[in-house]
Amino acid sequence: MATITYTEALNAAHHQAMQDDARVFLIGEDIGQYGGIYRVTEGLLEKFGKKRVRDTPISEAAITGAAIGAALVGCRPILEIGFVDFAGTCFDQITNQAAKFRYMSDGQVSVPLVFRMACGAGLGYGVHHSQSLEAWFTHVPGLKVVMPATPEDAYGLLLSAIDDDNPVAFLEHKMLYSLKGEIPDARPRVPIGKAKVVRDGDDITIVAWSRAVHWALAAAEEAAREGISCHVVDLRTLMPLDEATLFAAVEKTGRLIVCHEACQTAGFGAEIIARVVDQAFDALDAPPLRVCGPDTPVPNSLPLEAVYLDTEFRLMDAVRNLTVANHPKPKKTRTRS
Amino acid sequence: MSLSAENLLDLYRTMLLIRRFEETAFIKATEGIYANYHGGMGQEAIPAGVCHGLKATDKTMITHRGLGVLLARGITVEQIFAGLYAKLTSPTRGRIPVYHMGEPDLGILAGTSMVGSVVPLAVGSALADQLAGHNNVTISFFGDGAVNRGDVHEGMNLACVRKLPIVFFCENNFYAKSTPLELSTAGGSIVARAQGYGIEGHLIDGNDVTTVHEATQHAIERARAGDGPTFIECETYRWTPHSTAGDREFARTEEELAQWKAKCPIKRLEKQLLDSNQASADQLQKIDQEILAQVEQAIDFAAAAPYAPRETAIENVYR
Amino acid sequence: MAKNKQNPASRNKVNDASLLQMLEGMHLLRAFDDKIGERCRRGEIPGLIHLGNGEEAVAVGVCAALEEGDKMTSTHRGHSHFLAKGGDPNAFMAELYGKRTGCCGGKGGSMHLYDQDIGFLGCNGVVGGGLPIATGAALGSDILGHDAVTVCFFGDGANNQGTFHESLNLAAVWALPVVFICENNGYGISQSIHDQQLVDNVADRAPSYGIPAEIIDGNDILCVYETVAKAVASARAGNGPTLIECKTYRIGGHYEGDSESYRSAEEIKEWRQKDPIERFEKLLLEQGTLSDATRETITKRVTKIVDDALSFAKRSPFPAPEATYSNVYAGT
Repeated sequence: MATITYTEALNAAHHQAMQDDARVFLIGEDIGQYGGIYRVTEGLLEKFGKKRVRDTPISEAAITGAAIGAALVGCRPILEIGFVDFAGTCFDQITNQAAKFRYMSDGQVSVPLVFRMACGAGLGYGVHHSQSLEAWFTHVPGLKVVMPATPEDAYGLLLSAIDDDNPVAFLEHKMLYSLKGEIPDARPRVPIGKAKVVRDGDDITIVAWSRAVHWALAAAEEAAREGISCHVVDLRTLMPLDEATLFAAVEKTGRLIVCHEACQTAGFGAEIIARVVDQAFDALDAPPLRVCGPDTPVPNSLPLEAVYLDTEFRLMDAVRNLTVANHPKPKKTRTRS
Repeated sequence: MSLSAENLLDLYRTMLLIRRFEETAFIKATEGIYANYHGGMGQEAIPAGVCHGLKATDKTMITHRGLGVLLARGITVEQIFAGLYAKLTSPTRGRIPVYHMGEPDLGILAGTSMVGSVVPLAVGSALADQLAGHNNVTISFFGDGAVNRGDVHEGMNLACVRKLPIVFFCENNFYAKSTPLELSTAGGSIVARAQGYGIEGHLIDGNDVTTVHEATQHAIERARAGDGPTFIECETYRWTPHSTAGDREFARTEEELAQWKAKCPIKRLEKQLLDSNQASADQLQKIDQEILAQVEQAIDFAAAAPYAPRETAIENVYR
Repeated sequence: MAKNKQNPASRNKVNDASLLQMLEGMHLLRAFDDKIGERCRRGEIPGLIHLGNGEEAVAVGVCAALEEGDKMTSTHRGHSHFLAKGGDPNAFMAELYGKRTGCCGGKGGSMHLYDQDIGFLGCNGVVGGGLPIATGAALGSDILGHDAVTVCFFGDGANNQGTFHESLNLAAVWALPVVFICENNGYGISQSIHDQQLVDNVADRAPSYGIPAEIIDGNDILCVYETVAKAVASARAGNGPTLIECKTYRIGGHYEGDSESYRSAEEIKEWRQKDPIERFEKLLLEQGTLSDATRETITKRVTKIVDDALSFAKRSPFPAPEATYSNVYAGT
């Protein structure tokens, strides 16, 4: 076991992937000599050279499309878009082009492209540098969406994303870059499409991803002191969703809270609850809850940003709310006709 | 046509205000008072020279490095520091980075962080003025980093084909964060691209405030006369890194910085004023002292001001 | 998928045979578009169809200058590009009819034709959508050490799109092996190019990126061929991109069903007189390469290919309903 930061994990995965496969190359702004805004690509230019580590002008549409075109002819690009908020500038290329080539060619070709984007609030960066926009991408058939919460998963999922023949939106919460965590010496890949139970419990299931996983674990600790046992699931991959783990987790406790930083309306939490209601309704003993970000842009001022982020604390309220005392187990099992 | 002593002193005062503001803003950022400041030290001739003489109904659209323009247009240094401190007393009540603020009464357009995306927005402002028959001009600022964005291309083309009353003002400081111009921009010249849109382009010394002012006035006259856009590329240089958020300088050298510091726009105007006896050293020092006091007071006000109440976080998402 | 036997000659050999091949190539495209137009008006072909009658010299001339491994991106008006590149005529027609035997299993349709085997990296429903992708294919070729050049078709309408600017700049900065071909037919749907930009020519923008440009008569197939051949050779030699603007004209509307209220009958008549096929035939007849008998043979052969493709398409089955769900992702 070693302890590394999330950034170091991503950097190590880049080194490994580029060493193993000459088709892998990097493209993005300030990734070469600068090593990336978050230092994820440090040292790669020196090791692999300018042909495979490509600094670009500010031209997101062109660089995204270029990564796609390169993938169509056999490369396996990793594209860095510094902030997920900038995805609007290359949205056509991501959603209309990358996501659809396989389908519209009916399988002749695929787009093995990883586009890494940093998301999330907490640094006072304001409206255009703080959003969580995973729901934009989960709504596009043809894209996979991955959001690791730990260094170990960042490493393993990035390698899996690079291996995957599909375009993968790889979202990294910027507050996690300095997070330290253990990683096994064997440094395994983490499969895409597989959620993980990160804390075993019996009373309430909390499903979360990315930074919210840490909120969930903190809430679980506090809940334990109050005699409530929480079962926490880190989704790790949003699309494709690991329904088996999700439904098993709901069946275990009968009570579900979904927590995410992104704003609530039409957030991915809605999709999870819809699927649970649709396919595991009988397992529920209480209404499923969402604890999510408010439906606002992210304010700049730190106290206001803290309001935006108080999801972390409202989660604890939701946990207390969902106990058996407040929602007694129903006498009859509800079934859908 | 040379500017009067009074005008030159105004320009000097504006540049010095921006400089003293920038120095303090940078220090406070490095102290961790606020996140991520994009300093414009060294580039003062541009906001001062461009904005001098603009009507309050003329519009400006700035970038993340454009706080000097806000000061030149009449936003006070108190307001800007309140903005950087993200306090209730700021023009935006601390909700957005202050360089995105809009102020309709002063012709300041609200902007966006997407590099280059400000250009279509500025074009829209010029379009609105043209449709309404107003005799206003919009100044669209952007840096060398923006020139390869598709939005800039689309915005410029639209403005040119409709002969909109707009000036495209590129502050070329030769680096987009860590990327030098020669690695990002094909063709070897930013200003030469104006020809691709069928308009005049001018390359000027961005550190000579009177040159900046004259070039802007020429472009504004053309715009007001209905002759459409002009493209101005100003060569300049920032003395500080791209931002204070852990930015590392390695692409730029000490020698290069020293060369550009030797072309300091303020020192140049100072020399001109003193050599031509249009101002005395005492006079200029008095201006500096007033400005320093103003900046210090602004910091105190900002530090003492309250933050906006929590409830305001969810306001104004919709009308 | 069967290759289209109409593949033009390699750039090294423009002899009589290849000249006749080029002529036949143009006839094939014209015959297909005429037939498709007729079937559209009968209501047999679903969706939006954009035909290229009048622009055949560009597609055939360009493809004659390419090697087998070279790549191409196309536009919403890409039937000619697809066929000239070597796309199978039967699979092409079946795709327009939405049949299972189409080149994309009926899932792509007219605006999304794709054929990996011939390096045809897609028609594109988004104006300007193919420019970054072509830049990327050239980038990939560079990284992987392939000898391939990528040709990127786009129209005059796309040159005001942000992707044009970003792609040309990026391709120039990295000296990528891509040739940008603008089919300037003077209209972006209903809007004249002169209403959309101040400069008269798309190629007037090439100096902005420091790349060479040519403005040529897009209805002169030999001029197209020679100009493109030079640009392709230059790209293959590592000299980076070229922009070639082909002045041409679409005789038909923007799409089948277009009222065409934005242009005059006189203008259309004027351009019919510059018809690329008639001009080339006249030249070949004059120089003795073409005889009436050969011409008739070509016409018969082309008609048969089109008729065979049509009946292939009509008798082919539709895809099974389950095909709706297939190939969203690789590996499933």
